[in-house]
Amino acid sequence: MADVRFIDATRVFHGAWRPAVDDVSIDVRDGELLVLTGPSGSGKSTLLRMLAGLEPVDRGTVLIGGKDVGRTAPDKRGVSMIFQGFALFPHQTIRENIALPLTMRKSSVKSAAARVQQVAELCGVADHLNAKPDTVGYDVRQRTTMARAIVRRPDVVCLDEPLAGSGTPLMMRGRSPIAALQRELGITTLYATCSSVDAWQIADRIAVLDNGRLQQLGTPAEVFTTPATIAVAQFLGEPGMNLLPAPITAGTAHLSAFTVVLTPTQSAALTTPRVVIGIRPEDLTIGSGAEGAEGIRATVVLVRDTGRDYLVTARTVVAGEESDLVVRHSEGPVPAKGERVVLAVRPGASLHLFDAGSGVRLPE
Amino acid sequence: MSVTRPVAVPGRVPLGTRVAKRLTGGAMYIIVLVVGVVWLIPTLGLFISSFRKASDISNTGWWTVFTHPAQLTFKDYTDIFGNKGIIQSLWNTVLITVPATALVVFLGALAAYAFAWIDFRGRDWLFVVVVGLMVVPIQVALLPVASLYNRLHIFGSIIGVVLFHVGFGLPFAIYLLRNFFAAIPRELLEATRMEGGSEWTIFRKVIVPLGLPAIASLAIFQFLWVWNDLLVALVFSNAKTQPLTVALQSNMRQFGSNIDILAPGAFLSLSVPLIVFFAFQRYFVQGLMAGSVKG
Repeated sequence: MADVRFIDATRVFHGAWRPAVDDVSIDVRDGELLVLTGPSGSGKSTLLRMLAGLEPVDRGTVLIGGKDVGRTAPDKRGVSMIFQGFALFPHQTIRENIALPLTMRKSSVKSAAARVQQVAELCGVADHLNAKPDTVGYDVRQRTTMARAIVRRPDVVCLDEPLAGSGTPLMMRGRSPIAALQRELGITTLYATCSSVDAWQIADRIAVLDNGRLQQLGTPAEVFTTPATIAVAQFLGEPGMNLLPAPITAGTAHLSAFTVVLTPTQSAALTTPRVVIGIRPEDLTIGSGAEGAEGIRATVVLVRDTGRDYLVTARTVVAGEESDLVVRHSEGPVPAKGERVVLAVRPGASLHLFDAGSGVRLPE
Repeated sequence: MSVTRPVAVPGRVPLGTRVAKRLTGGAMYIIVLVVGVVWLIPTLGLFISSFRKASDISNTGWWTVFTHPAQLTFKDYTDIFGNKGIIQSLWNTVLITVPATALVVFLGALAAYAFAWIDFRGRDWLFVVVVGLMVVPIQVALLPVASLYNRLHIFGSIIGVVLFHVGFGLPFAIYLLRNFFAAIPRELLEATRMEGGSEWTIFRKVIVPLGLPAIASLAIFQFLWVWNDLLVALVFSNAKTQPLTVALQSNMRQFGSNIDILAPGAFLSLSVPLIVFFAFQRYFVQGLMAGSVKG
């Protein structure tokens, strides 16, 4: 068991024009499940690989249990990794696959066999030990990778997009015992995924990366309710937050018949006279297009039925620029395509204001 | 995420599909059969001739054996097994082929692994050079290598012949294996590295088992090429170290030949590649597709 610290960790790939991981500092607590998320190419996999020892740390420090591991070989770090696409050996049985970390370390055959049996039972693959990976189902393969990752009692487990492309991260779903297992074993876990929704339900904390830089680190609720940058706001939530750039004149932004007034501190924090106003699709309501009503005037361009509610895309014009807004519409009549509507912000909902120049959230 | 499959548009079958369909139909079988038979007739003639006396061969055609089966005899074979020169040359063929194949496969696999997975300075340029070497015709090298061998005093030795085969076998071996090895998922290598696997361990435990189809087919190809080689051996071996192909060739003359040695000798030489082919034909097909389909 150990905590993990990244201090100004940087990785520049040969010939790249910007670092893949850029001055990232994260403290991961002992036993915590930290989800690293961000669009593809944001550096989350590279960060994991730096921790695992598959990538060098070009600048900064990586500490595991307080010890600098910059020059430690991958197998001596107490880190195990679950790779994208399982990485099971097709020519070996499930048993041999799980035992790999032990056989590679030349542990005694007898103790290895006992440990493999124990872990296999824990992960629910004990019935398949003699099968080859391609003869068993998806779920079993997934559990096998988990078993292989914990068989040598690691301090830290890294999951690198373990199920990218599969669409169903069963491994971490509530009905899978494996999410529970992580809690039970208390292994510090770093989970990289580009699906923010999956990250949601399981993370203790979420770290959002964009272009190799850490954008925000916090609990799922914090990251969702007060996104620190435009990148975070855009990335988290399904669908993501609506972002409207608007010019500021005399501390006020106008969205057709809707005005946003900035506080003096907010105005002072602006680096350009432009603000980006973020509104969650859940925080918008659709009103009738009655003249004089306060709100954002828009024209419906697309209506999608999600089964539970409707996602209405409406186009508005702010300061001569067209912007599309998505509204999660659950009550009242559904507007038709082409209909003119007025969008209002739900009472009590908060607007998110960002500096258009730096992309940073403005102070409250 | 759903799996997308090519959707068949009714009424519009792509040309390639139509040609492929025709080719697998009954007409194709007949064409293949005819071509096969036409190609096999001379071989059959040689085969039957190897069971006839030299005097019979020079007087009548091999097909007369069907009406006069009494001509058949094993004498040519017993003669050839008693012929010291032929047996020595058969042994030479084995001594040349086995090391030439083993070295090419072993060195080729190591080099291919490095080209596919080890980052070193100038790797891509070096690989371009290796690929470029594949187009160098053997004939270009005959003279320079002969003078080099002379200086090294290995001209006419088996080692010389083996080294020449290794040199000219390696570019293709590296090329074939590198492409196959590069298709092995990176995660498998990294999973091994995470457990403390050195490059050598990764090569042994990941690359060799997963690359086996390509390695096996390369071994077969290389074995057949070297076994059937005449040109290289003709230049670089001498009377003591000549392989079977050269020994047989020396029994051929412009006017007439020692058919009683040639016919059974040719079959002796042919039998080994045939056995290899039938024993490993599974790998043959896989190897031909190496690189095109992910391993």
